[in-house]
Amino acid sequence: MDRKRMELLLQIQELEFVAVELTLFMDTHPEQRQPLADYNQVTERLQSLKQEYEKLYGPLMVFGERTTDRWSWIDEPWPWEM
Amino acid sequence: MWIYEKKLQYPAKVSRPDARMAKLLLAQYGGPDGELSASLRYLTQRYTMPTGRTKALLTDIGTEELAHLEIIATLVYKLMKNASLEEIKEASAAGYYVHHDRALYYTDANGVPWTAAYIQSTGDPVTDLHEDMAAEQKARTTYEHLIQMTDDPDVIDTLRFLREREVVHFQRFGEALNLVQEHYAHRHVF
Repeated sequence: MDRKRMELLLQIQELEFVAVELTLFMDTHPEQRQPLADYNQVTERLQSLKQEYEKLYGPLMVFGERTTDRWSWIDEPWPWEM
Repeated sequence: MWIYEKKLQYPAKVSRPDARMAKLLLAQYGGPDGELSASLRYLTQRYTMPTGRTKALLTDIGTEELAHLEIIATLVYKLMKNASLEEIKEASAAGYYVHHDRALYYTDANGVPWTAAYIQSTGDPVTDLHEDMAAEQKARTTYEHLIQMTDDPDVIDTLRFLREREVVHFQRFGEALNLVQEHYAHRHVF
């Protein structure tokens, strides 16, 4: 597997993990301001990393980045093959 | 609705094929305290949660459990993929092979198929949240048992991540339980 791809994917996984963790925390602590600020910062950075990944390796989600001339959603490898 | 994201939540690597460990990991695929049970339990209990916070929490944890289900499936898939028939026989995974080859099927480590009898949905949020907290502890224990069953450092790394998530979910469910109890304490019913 392409090393650069795996590194970028790992960065996305790390940031998304922070977003997931903050989401669960805010579900039970919605009145706290700091986690909300962290969440907004993390999701913005996550969004830009995902765009970079999708440009290079195809869509992470359907209805994600606009596809060009080809339906690349079907491209292998799928996550369990990487 | 749900939209699929074409990536795992956490890397799921294996060092070598291992049919024996693949079979044991099914405990967390289609077992009573596994990820399928967890996801379906929370996603069906959420409808009768009393507050926005608890509806959100059960939706979000139920969704994360689906990502964990995919991680377990990936480990099993990779461990089985290049396992030889000889290994599969030695690993006492022959019975599984006869029914499913190297495919993924919702059973526990002993081949018992998943059943909805593993989960409850009582309509009483206090009762349901207690079940959820117990479920997270049972899953944590199962992960600890699984970690003891392998020396593959890649598999252990992924299992440790999943074990830690059980601890965090238990914490959040405990907070949700307190919130629900407060909610009922302050609601005046005449």
